[in-house]
Amino acid sequence: MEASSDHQRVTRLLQQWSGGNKQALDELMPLVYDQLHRLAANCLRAENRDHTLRATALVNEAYVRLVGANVSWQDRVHFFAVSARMLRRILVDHAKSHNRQKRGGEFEKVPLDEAILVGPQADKGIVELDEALRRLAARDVRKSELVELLFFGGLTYDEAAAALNISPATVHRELTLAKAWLYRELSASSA
Amino acid sequence: MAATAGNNWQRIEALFYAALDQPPSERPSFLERACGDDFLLRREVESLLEASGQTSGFLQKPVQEAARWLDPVEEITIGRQIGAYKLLRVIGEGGMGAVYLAARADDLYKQQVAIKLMHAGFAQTRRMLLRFSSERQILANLNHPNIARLLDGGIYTGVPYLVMEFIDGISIVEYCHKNKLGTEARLRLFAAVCGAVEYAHKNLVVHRDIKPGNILVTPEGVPKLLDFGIAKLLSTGDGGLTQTRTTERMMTPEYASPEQLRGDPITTSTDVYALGVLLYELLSGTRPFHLTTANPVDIVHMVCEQTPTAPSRGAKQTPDLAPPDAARKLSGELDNIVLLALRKEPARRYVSVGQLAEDIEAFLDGYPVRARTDAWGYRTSKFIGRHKIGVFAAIVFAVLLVGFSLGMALFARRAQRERLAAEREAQFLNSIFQSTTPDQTRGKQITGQELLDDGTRRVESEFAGEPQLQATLYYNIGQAYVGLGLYQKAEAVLQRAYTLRKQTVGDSNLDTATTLDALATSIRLQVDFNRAELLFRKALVIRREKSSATNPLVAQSMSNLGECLYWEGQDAEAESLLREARAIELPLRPDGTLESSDMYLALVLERKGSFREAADLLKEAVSISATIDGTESSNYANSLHDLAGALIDAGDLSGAEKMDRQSLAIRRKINAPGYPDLAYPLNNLGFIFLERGDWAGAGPFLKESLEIRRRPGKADARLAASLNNWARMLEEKGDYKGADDYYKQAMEMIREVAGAQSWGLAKITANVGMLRADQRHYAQAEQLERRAMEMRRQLGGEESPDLASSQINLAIVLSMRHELPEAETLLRRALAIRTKELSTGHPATISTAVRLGEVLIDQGKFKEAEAVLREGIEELHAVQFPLMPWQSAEAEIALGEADARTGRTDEAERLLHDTAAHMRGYPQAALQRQILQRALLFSETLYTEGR
Repeated sequence: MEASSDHQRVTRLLQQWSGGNKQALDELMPLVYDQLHRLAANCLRAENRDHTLRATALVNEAYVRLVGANVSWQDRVHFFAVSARMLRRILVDHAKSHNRQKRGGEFEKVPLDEAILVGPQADKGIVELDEALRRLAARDVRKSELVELLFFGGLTYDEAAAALNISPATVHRELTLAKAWLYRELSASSA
Repeated sequence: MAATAGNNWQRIEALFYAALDQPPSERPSFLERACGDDFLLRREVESLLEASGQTSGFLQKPVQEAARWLDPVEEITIGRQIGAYKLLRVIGEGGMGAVYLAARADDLYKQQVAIKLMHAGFAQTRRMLLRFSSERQILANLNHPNIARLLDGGIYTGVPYLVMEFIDGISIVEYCHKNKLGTEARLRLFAAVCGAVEYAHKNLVVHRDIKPGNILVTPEGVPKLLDFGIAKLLSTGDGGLTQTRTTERMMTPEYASPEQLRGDPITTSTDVYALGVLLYELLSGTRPFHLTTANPVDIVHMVCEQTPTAPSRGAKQTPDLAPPDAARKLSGELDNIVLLALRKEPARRYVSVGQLAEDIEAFLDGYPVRARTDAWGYRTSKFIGRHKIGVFAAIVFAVLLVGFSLGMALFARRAQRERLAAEREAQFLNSIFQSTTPDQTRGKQITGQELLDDGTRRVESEFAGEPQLQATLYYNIGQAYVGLGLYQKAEAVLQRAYTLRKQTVGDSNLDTATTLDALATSIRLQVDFNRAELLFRKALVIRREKSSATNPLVAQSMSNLGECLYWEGQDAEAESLLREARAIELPLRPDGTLESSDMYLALVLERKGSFREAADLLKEAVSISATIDGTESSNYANSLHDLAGALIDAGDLSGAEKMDRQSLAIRRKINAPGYPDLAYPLNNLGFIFLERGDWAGAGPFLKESLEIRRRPGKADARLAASLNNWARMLEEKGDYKGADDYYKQAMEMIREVAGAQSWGLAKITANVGMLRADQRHYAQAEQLERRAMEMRRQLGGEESPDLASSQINLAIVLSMRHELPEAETLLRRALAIRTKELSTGHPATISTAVRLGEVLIDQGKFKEAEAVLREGIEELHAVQFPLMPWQSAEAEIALGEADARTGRTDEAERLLHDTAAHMRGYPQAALQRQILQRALLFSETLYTEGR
C-alpha cells in the first residue's frame, strides 16, 4: 500500500519537474536520497559479482521501488539524474566519515544505517573527485552534471543527452573536455 | 564582473574542441595561430589536450572503490577466528543462524564457548539485526545460575555474533528419560526451570519459546535455559513499553500458547503456558496435543479450543517415557496444577510463574495446592484479547498487565493476607477492561482515558479501608496516565498514592520513595521543574538512607534530579549528579547501553561548550536506541532529536535537519496529533530553517509547536522558547511590530519561570536588541545587547559560547554606529572564544572571522583584514559541514574586497566568480539577490578604481 502511494507521489513529482516546476525537485530529492540510502545500507548480497558498478545497480533498484510503470522516458531520465546526484552525496559522505574515523580527528558524522555495516574503507579518491567536480561546476555546471549522470547514475549517452537537453554529439564532445579537465585537476592535486 | 573568467572558459572550450578536430600533428600550429601571444590561454588548452589522451577509465575507479562498501560479507567457515575465538564445529542450526562450538584462540580447547552467528543473508536485513541485538541486550541483563550466560558479542564482517556459555548437556526431557528420574526429581528440576523463568520475568523479559530443546541439563544435573532468540522485552527501563505481539510465528507449535497462535499480545502468562506443556511432558512422557500430522488450521483449533486430557491419563498411554512411579504419584493435584497452567485464557492461568513454582513446592512438601480449589473467581470466559478493543486500551492493558503480573510475582512469596490482596488487585485490573467489550460499550470505542478515569473512581469506592492496596492501584493507574501523556491526571492519582503510602508505611520507606519518584516525574513532565526538584530530592534522600550508596535506585534518583536541574539551568550540580549516576550505573549495564542520564549529561556538556564529548554520547545513544527500542519508538525519536540538538551546536544544520525530520516522522506515526513531545522536533526544525534565513519554511513548524505548547495554558520555559522563535520568524519576515509583541510575551514568561537572570532571558534580550537594530534604533539596541552580554558573563564566565555571541551582536550594533575600534576588540575576543571552543571550520567561527574582516576593511586595515579572511576561507575549504551558500559568499566577497584593496585584483575577480557559482541554485531568492547586489556593487568599485 505504501509502495504504491510512493510510486504515485514520485511519478507526479517527476512529471511536475519535467513540466518546469522546480519545487517538485526539492520534494523529490529527499525521497530519492532516503530510498538510495536505505538500499545502500541494506544492500543484499551481490548475486553476480561481475565488474558492473554496484552503484548503478543501486540506482536501478531505487527506480523499481520508487517509480511506477507508466512514466515517460523523459521522466525516467530525470529520475536517474536526481539519483545520480544523491548517490554521489551518499558515497562521498560515507567516504568522508570513514576517512575522518581513520584520522580519529574532528567531529564525525556516521550515518545511522552505516554504523551497523562494516565494509572496506573507502578510498579518499571519491572525495577528491567530488571536490574536483565542484570546482568544475563553478566553471561549467553542465559538464559537472554530465559526469555525475554518466558515472554515478549509470545513464547512457542518449539518456544523459535527454536529461540535459543537449544532443548526444554534444554529450560526447563535452565529456572529452570534462574528463580532460578533471584528469588534470586530480593529477595536479595528488602530485 | 565574473564575465572575464566565464568568457575565458568559453574561449578555452571552443579552442579545445577546434583543436581536437585537427589531426594531432596539426594541433601545435593551429593553436599558435589561434592564441597569438596569449601564452596562458595556449598553455591551458595544450595541457587539457594532453590530459585528454590519458583519461580512459580513470573516473570509474574512484566511484567503484567508494561503492565497494556496498558489497557484503565473506563466507564464514570452520577454523575461522572471530574476535578472540576460533570456530571448532557446528553444534546447532536455526532459522536465523548457526551455533558453533568455539574456543579461545590463545587458549585452545580449555575454555569452550558457544558462538551464535547470524546467517550472512539474514544479517543484511535490519529486522534480523535488531532481533539479534535485542537478544544480546536481553541476555546481557540476565545473570542467573539456570540461564546460559552471555560472555561476549560483536560484529564480524557485518554479521553480528554472540558468545555464550557452552552447555555440555542434553534436553531436559531426554535427561529425565535417560536417568529414569522419578516424579519428585522431575518436579525439582522443573521448579529450578521455573526459578529461571521467574527471574527473567522480573527483568521484564518473556522467553516466548520455552521447550525441551531450549532447556539443557548438564551432567551435574543443573538445568540451563537457552535461546532467548524470540524473547522480547516487555518494557524498557524507563517505563516506556513495547507491545509484544507475535507477528512472526517462529515458535514451536506444540509448545505455543493459544494467544501466540492467534497473534494476540504476549505476556508472562505465555511462558506459564509453555511451562505447563513442559510439565505435562515431564510427568506423562507425552504432550497435551499431538500436532505432528495436523495442518495449521487444526493446530489452531486444537490448541485454542480443545481441553487436553489430564497428564495422569496421558502417562498411561506412554508408560516407557513417563516417570517410573507415575502410576502411584500422579494424582488429581498434579493434574490440576498442569491444567491450571494450560488454561486457554492467559488471565485464568497462574498469575505468575512464581505461583506455579509455589504450588509445585507445596505439592512436594505435602501441603494443599491452590490449583485444586478452583477459587479464582474469574467468571469471565472470554478474554480480552479476543475482542477488538481500541489501540489505546490495548496499550493500557499491556501496561497494567505487566505491572500486575510482576507485582504478583513479588507478592507471591508473601503472607496469605497479602496474597489475597494481590489477587484482588489483579482481578480489579482485569475488570477495568471487561467494560471494553463492544456489547458493554454499545459498539462505541472507549478511550484509554475513560477506562482509567473509571478505574480511579472504583479504586476509591471499592477499596476504601485498604490503603496499601489502594496505593498500589493508584500507582499503576498513574503510570498508565503518564503513558498516555495525561500528566495532570497522573499527578492527581499519584499524589493520592503518595499520601496513602506515607500514612501506611511512613516517609522513610523504599515504596514511598518509588511513589514519590513517579509523582515527581508526572510533575516534571508538566515542566514544573521547581516542584519536581523538591520531590526528587526527597526520594533521593530516602533511597540513600535505605539502600547502599551504589544502588541503581540511588542512581535513578540522581539522574532524575540532575535532569530537573538541567532544565532549571543549574548546570554545575546537574553535571556532577549525572556523572555520579553514570558512574554507578556503568558497571551494572551491559556494554554499550546508554541511559537517559547520559543524554542529559550530553545536554549539559553541550551547553558548557563541550560539543565533542556531548555529540559522542548522543551518537552512541542513537544507534543503540535504534537496535534496542526499534526505529518506531519514542526513545529512538528522542535520541534522534537530542543528536540533532548537538549537531546544531556543532554547526551541522543539514545533519540536524535530517535527524529531526526523522524524529518528527516517527512521532507522527506513534503519537496522536497535539501530543506534547511532537513539539520538540517541530521547534528544532523551525529553528533550523530560521538559521538558514528561510522564514517561510520555518513558519509551519514553529506554528504547530507553539500551538501544542500553548495548550496547557501555563507559563513554562519551553513555551517561552517557542514564543521567542515565533517572534524571530516574524522579524525575519519583516513584521517588526508582531515580533516585538511576541518577544515581550516570551520575556515575561521566562522571567516568571526562571527569574531575573537566566540563559533564556539573556537570549531573548539579545534578540530584542537585534530587532531594535533592524528597526534602526541603535542606541536602544546597544543598551539591550550590553545587558544581555553582562548577564551571560555572570552566568557563564569569560569563555562561554553565548558570551561570544553577545560580543558579536554588540559589535554589529557598534559598527552600525561607526564605533569601529570597540567593535574590533569585541570581535577579536569572540573569535578567540570560538576558535578555542568550537571545532575547526565551524560556521560560527568563520562568520565571526568574516565580521572581523569587514570591520577591519571599514577601518582601512586591508592587510589585516586579508589575513583574517584568508584564514577563514581556508578553513571554509577544509570545512566538514556543508555551509549555507550565503556563508561562503559572504566570506568570499569580503576577502575579494580586501584583495582588491591590496592590489590583488585577479584574485578578487576569481573570488567574485566563485561567489556567483556558490549562489547559483540557492532557493532563497531574496538573500541571493542581496548578496549578489553587494558583489555587484563592489565589483563596480573594483573596475572603476582598480582597473
